[in-house]
Amino acid sequence: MLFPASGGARFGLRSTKCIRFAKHGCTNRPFFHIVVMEKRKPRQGHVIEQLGTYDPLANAFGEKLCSINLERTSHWIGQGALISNSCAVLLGLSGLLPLHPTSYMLAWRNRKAAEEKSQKEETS
Amino acid sequence: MAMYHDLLLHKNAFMNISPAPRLTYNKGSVGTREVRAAGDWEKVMISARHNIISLGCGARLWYPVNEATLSLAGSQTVRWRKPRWVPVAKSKMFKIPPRTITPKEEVVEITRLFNMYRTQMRAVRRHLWEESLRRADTSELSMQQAAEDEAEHQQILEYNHQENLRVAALREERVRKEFEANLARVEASKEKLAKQALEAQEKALHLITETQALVKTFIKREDLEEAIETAIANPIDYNFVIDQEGHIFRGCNTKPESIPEEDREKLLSVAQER
Repeated sequence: MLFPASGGARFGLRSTKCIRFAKHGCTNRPFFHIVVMEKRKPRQGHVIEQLGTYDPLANAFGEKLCSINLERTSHWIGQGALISNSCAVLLGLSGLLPLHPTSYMLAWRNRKAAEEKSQKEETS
Repeated sequence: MAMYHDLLLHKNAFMNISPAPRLTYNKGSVGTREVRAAGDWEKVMISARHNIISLGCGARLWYPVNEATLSLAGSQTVRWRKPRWVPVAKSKMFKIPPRTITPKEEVVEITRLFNMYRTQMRAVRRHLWEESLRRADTSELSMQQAAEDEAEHQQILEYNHQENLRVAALREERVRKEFEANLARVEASKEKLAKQALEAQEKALHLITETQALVKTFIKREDLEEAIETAIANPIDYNFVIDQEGHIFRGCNTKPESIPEEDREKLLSVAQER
């Protein structure tokens, strides 16, 4: 029987949970569900609960859409669920958690690249 | 209740993040090296399990091609892209990928940021844990809420009981009235039926008396000869004629001249017209 993607997996009370992406979509079109799973389960395994979605491809307005159920997410973080790096970045940008250092890193590297590019244009 | 928070990430969102504020309280970080080594162990164990599974199934390829990258003994990376016995491509044989060099000040900054992030995350996690405890079913707040709910429920039950009593009294009154109305209706219908029965009896009696009267006129067998003789002796002529003035002349052989004018019988409709 098919298992619902939105959750319902059986899980141990004291097992390690993890908030991470479950990849959906198809070839050349990734789409992620933000889910709570047992940490040792495979990426496409049964999820305990779906917390949101993330579309990594920018739409016509140059936006990457992401939806998060903050109530449940904060509940699971309170229960001690680990958070994968990519999810931590998203949650930091959403304002639930402090900004992830990776975001800062990416920002200053982008800034630096833009600066160098503008300088190059000035000199040439 | 699902409260979804929509998040829009712009292409250049990562340009606009301002430098992180400096945190004065920095706690020594956990050794990342040990953690990473443990992670590697786990991956190796998983891959071994997959090997066994694919062998048992009699699959075409015994090696898990689709497995993620994993490192063997921390020195060699196996991507499972090609079989283990295929050597490095000739064109790539002596290729040495350039080392990524992170500037020293950047390393310091990253370390600082990560230390800060871990500290903040610990605080956030603790806060959310306490929040979940506060909201748990067995917490003081929930118990209070449950007690309030129970009291409200009892109040509603009491109200329901009172309402039931009130409605029961109303219903009793209504049922009593209906019963009385039924009695009256039955009484009336009984009377009507008795009256109808009486009428029917009278009608039957009437019929009987009429028939008895009729029977008296019947000709009995012993009087038959006499009746026939009487009938022969008194012949009745049913013929008649009518003239234009509406006079009736009875009898087959009667002549209009034989009857005087004032004795002539007239048709009923003509007599009424006059």
